[in-house]
Amino acid sequence: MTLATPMMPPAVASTTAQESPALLGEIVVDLLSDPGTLDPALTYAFDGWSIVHSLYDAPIQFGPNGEIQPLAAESFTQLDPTTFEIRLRQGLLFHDGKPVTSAAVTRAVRHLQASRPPVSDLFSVVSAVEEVDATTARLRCAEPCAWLPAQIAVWMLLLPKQFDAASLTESSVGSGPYKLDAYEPGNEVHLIRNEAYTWPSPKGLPLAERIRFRFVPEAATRLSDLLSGGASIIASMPFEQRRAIDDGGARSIDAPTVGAAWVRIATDTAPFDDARVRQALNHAVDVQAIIDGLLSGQGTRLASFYPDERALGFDPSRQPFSFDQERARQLLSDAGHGDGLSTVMDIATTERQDIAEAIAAMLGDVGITVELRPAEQATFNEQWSDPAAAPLRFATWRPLYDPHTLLSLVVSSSGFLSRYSNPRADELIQSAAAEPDRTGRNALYQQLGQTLMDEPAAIYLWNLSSLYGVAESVDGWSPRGDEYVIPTRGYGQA
Amino acid sequence: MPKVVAQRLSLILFTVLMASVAVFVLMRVSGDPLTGFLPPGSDPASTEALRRELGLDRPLPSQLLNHIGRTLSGDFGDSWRGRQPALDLVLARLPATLLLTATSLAAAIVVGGALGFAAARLERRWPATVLNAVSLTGQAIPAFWLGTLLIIVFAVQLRVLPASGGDGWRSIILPAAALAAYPTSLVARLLSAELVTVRRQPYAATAAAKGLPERTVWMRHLLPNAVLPALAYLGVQTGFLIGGAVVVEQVFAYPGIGRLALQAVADRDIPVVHAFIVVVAILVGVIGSMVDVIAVAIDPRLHDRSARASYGD
Repeated sequence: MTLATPMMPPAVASTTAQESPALLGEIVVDLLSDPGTLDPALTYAFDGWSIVHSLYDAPIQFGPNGEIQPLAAESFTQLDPTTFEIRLRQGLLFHDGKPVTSAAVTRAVRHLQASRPPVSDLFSVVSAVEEVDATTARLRCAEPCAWLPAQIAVWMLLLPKQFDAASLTESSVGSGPYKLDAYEPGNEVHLIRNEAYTWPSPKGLPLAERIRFRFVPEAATRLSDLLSGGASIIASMPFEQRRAIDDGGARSIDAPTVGAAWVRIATDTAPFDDARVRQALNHAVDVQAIIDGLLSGQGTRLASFYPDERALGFDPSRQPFSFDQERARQLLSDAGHGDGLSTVMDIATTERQDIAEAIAAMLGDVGITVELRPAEQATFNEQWSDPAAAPLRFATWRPLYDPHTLLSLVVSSSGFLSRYSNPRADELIQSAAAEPDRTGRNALYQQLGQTLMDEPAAIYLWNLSSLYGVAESVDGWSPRGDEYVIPTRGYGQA
Repeated sequence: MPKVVAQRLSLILFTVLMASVAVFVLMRVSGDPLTGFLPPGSDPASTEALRRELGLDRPLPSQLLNHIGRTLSGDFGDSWRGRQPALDLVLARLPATLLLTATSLAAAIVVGGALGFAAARLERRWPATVLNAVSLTGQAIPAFWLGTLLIIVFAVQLRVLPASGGDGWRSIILPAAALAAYPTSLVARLLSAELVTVRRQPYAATAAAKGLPERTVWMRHLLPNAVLPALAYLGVQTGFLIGGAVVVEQVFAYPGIGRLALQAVADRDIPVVHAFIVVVAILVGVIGSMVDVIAVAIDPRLHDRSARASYGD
């Protein structure tokens, strides 16, 4: 696998930037919550990633179509199943003016490995980083890991020569489109434009001279910020607010994110060890009715975990389970549960309870009585693999450009979050993890998609979407499938 | 007097220790602390290594002793999430919350006092009924709902104040108003009811019979005697105000300790929750003591009672 982009000398790129639409003065972006740190290895949610990916560049990123694009790398090549070569672009500079060299790759890997699980677990597969020359580094892995590039795009941000835990948050120095000006914990992060970021980055070029990321947990307050002129971009809005955004003189932008919603079914407990019962659950839920009634029409019923064309394994020709109550009753009857059954479904309190109630009511219509058990997020997370926990659990997962992490954790019989066991699925997951060819991996995951319909691991629901509000003055910003709100113009257009 | 001070300090210390133990118990009974802190999917071996690093593998009594030791030393350790000293994080956010709480308290005293005074002076006339109705409404409206309403009117419609954030004095007005609504109303109602009661006392009739101007009767004889219940209430209310600030800070995205605490609880960031609870417990204890001092200044008889109690009379 080789990914490469033609390199453009900085001088030429600079001219391009000057011809681009006018740079705005200041943009205020309302995110949800303060990440509490700007350490890339300790950032786990889109709020934090929006900021750290504005400050730092990784060697590669996900493009608008889900493809892996070279970013700080001029080329990214898988030399063999266990070796990746990163050839960095010439002339890239950190915010302190020092050059970005292959040592930055070593530092990034070392920092991730010395961090905390699960990030440190992900990068423990890298057994050595070899600095071939000033801008070329090779990652040697202990085992075949075709899934690693997807993790590199998220976590492996190029780090400067000197940093420590405090400086990563208080005086971050990256090579991304913005420099850190100030971080006021709990309140705002101030960024200023990186004047040197004029090369044709597929991340896009800075949209404004100054950025203020603010943390506003309430959606109604974010909307008020936008409508009162206090914010230019607001993230993570409920779809019911779309009209309020448009009527208030701003623009609503919706975008499918590369994520999926599903109800995990534990197959280690009766009666869910019977595939017919799990198929019955899938047939019993009118997913489209929930999409239309509760999700403002956003989403498409899924045939498995893969959300859309941007995700490896997605097969547009595969038909999802049909909503067919008769079929569901028949399957239950065939499995010896014609008189119905009772079960429990866990749901984190951060998720929408009305959706879980609708699913429970639909299952009730075919004779499956479901007791809902809302749990605080931490408690919910604690019980993923607990055999005594509820057999059903409503969950969402993002990003899913590369489904390896989800599948190896939730579907693989040895996964830390798994209550599913299927030798065929295990074999396909392992083969896909080691398969260096992207087309080959895609085919393996598509085969797994069929296995996961025959032997369902979940009630497959819908792909996720995000709604943003954008002030009329902001032109050229576009949402990303990974939900990072990076204030640039021209994402994916290098 | 030194004995009274010592008693007060002991009481505050006891309260702080109890609050600290409560944090320990609640954070442990709510599940494994690491599950809130680490995202799902960690290798159990790495998780165990981290558990050892954080001392969570030790027996509970040993952890509790360590926890109490941290309370007494003021060293709560580093935030598990941000890897910065937990106390520093709390203290950095404390001034914003103190400013918000103090502004709300001041509004409650001034506005609530004026409303209560006016309602008592106008007793049995229609304006008093209106004032009482306003007070009752202020008590009935939840702070988060009032906050949203204030944002819509003053930020979105009139555009005179910011909807959220902590950017200067203008950012304090709306959250302080939302936070002050309840105590303002209660102060007004307490003061009004107490004024109406003391007005019927014989000493009030005596003062009036002596020919003192009505203003003097109200300000020098009635008000000092009527203000104590409201003052005692405000002393107790300070703790609730800091607690209420959690909700209001969330609605207005105000950068105080309330939001920090909420996030820390969700993440099970125990050092930060611990530091937050201890700091708030100290604050409530100190403010409660200050209110007692003010009460004695207003009504010296309280000092005599307190002194008698202290010396066992």
